[in-house]
Amino acid sequence: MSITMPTRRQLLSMIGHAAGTTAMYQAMTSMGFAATSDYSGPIELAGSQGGTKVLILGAGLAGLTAAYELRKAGYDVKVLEYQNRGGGRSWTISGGDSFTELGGHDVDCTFEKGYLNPGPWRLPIHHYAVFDYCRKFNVPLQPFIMKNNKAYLHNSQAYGGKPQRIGDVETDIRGYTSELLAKSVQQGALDEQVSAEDQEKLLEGLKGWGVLDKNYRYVTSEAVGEHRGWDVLPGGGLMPKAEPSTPLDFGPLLNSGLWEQLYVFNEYVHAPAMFEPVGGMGRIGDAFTEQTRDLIRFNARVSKIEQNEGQVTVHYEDREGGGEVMQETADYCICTIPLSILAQLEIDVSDEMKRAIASVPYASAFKVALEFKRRFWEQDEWIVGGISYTDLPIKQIAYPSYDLFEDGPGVVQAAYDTYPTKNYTYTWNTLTPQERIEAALEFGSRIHPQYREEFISGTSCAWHRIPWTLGCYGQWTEELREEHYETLCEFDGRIALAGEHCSHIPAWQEGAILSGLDVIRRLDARVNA
Amino acid sequence: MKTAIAACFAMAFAASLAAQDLAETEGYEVELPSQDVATDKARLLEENSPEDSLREIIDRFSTHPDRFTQTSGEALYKTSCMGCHMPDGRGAEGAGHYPPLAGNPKLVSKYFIVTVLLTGYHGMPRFGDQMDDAQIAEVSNYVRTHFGNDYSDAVTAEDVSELR
Ligand SMILES: Cc1cc2nc3c(=O)[nH]c(=O)nc-3n(C[C@H](O)[C@H](O)[C@H](O)COP(=O)(O)OP(=O)(O)OC[C@H]3O[C@@H](n4cnc5c(N)ncnc54)[C@H](O)[C@@H]3O)c2cc1C
Repeated sequence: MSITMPTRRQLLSMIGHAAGTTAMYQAMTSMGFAATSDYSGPIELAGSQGGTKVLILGAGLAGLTAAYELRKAGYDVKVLEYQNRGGGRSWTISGGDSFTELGGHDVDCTFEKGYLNPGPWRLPIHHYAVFDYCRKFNVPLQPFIMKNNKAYLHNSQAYGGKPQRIGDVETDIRGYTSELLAKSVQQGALDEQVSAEDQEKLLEGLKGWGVLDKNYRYVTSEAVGEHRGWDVLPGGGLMPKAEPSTPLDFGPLLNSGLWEQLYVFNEYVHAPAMFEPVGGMGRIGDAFTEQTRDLIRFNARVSKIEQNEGQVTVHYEDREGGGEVMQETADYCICTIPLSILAQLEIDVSDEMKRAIASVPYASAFKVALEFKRRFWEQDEWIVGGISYTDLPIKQIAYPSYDLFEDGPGVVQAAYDTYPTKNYTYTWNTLTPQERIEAALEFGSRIHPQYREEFISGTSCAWHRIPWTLGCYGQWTEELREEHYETLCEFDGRIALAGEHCSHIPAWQEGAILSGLDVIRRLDARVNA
Repeated sequence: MKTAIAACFAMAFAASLAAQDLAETEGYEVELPSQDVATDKARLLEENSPEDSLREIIDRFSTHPDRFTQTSGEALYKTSCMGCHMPDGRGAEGAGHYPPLAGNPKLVSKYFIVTVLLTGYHGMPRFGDQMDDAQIAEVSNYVRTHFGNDYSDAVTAEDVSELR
């Protein structure tokens, strides 16, 4: 008999028996199992005794996390922000809001209730730092319905353009793949990989998992009704007898392109349950801003960052005071200005750092929200929350997870895409605000014919037209990271960068906060070295 | 106003713009009104019927999600570059800026713009994986002969292929 290595599970259960659960948890962490975030609870800084001054550029979540924690630790903090608001991309557009985008068009919002989260809109549970600050700053959270089996998958080239319910497609895919796998087992195709005893178990599992009949076939049955739904729902009294629904045919389903639309739900960042702040994602940006408002100088457009051995000097234009150029000096500078903008500013850093700053392209993204007289998606189609996906340029329709079952009006996020390598989002960024609404209405009405009849108003955000980001987020590739990431995150003299672009979680608020925390931890260590 | 326009579109076009139509237009070239008109929504609506202007908007999209399907330099410009460099090629100014293509001295070298399109530049994403050699050449030539630019040394698909 040869000696085999114990499996991870065997090893863990040995540790668990021998040393109790604490040891088990520690062991799991060191084996890379349970560690899901770099966030290990509130940060502890040694602090500044001598009133070290830190100038923070940008009042997004990275900058304001740094500002809040540094001030708490006794540092002298000041924040310079281009906009007249804090929170950066953590932002919500509601009725009464308006802004001017690059190109000169005004985007306005006249929603009676409901809103557009133009950027961040959902939070996965392992973004511990975001939740911890929400707790600390009293930002109420509610469930965000990511997956709703009643929402649609839609391919304009399949099923005559008729959308299919997510639950139907998923149950059918599971049924057919189970049936096929069962067939392979029965035909002996897996004899080499799976022992006879395990084959029994596998078949039994597939039968339950795929809802197969006694011959291991996925065909309509009472049991399929109980998993996939009914053509006639079970009723009361002398109501008609229940009739199970019928699975979609396998061939057309496989060729419909709908299976791949399901993958998004399997991603770890989209796992249920997800959450959102009550009243819009901007509530998080607002909460950080309230905590640090007295430190922020708004309407300050940073144009130049200088440093020498002793200090940092930042030049900025006062956008209210007729563009007058002002200066601010400090011992250290934490710059969270998006790289798309920073790459254009004069900054005293090494050539290597300059190359890193200039190396990261910014992904494109856009969203359109439409306000409707009534919540027809709920009332007519029983889609209460969730997201429908489509091959049309709107890519998805997200139904609100709030004000459920109310009469209306209601707002849907009618179009959203951020794929960096797909072209639709570029095209949306070329449209005027009015054209975006018209396009979203046109494409969306192919999925919900009620659109035209029920339409009230719309609003949008084209991220390449946002003056303070020039795009959506830093679009790293593995090669770029390899070459530039560490340089970008290291201190260069008295200057260090932070922001979602200085994180391994680009395009998530958690990344912005963690990068803010990491940079101040290193700054604090330097100051107290 | 918004509602009225939308309602018009609704009646006339919901049916005729069926999804299948979109697929059949693969490879089309978008005939767009002149630059000024396209940027001025009010005039656009005056001169075209609502159906035409909706059609114009919808046709601005490619018929494939992974690559641009427009072939003319003008159509390609108007479905990609224009988002940042704007209809008049003058770029834009905010907390940072998008550089103007109008009168930009860097365009003197035809290889510069091709390289930027292929590999990206500063915050600008690369377009090399979504446009083929001929498309990169077309859009480069469009930019180098419009917005007051008047360069006669045209970029060819072969030039692009060599720089890839
Ligand atoms: C479309 C989209 C969807 C997203 N979805 C999610 C999501 O579902 N969940 C999630 O958690 N995250 C999501 N994110 C990501 C999240 O928004 C960001 O990661 C995070 O908000 C970035 O914070 P930051 O502090 O790094 O940058 P920002 O918030 O952009 O802060 C930078 C600040 O710098 C300022 N600034 C710029 N230039 C200058 C200048 N010259 N002078 C002075 N100030 C300047 C800006 O005005 C801004 O306030 C999404 C983002 C987008 C765009």
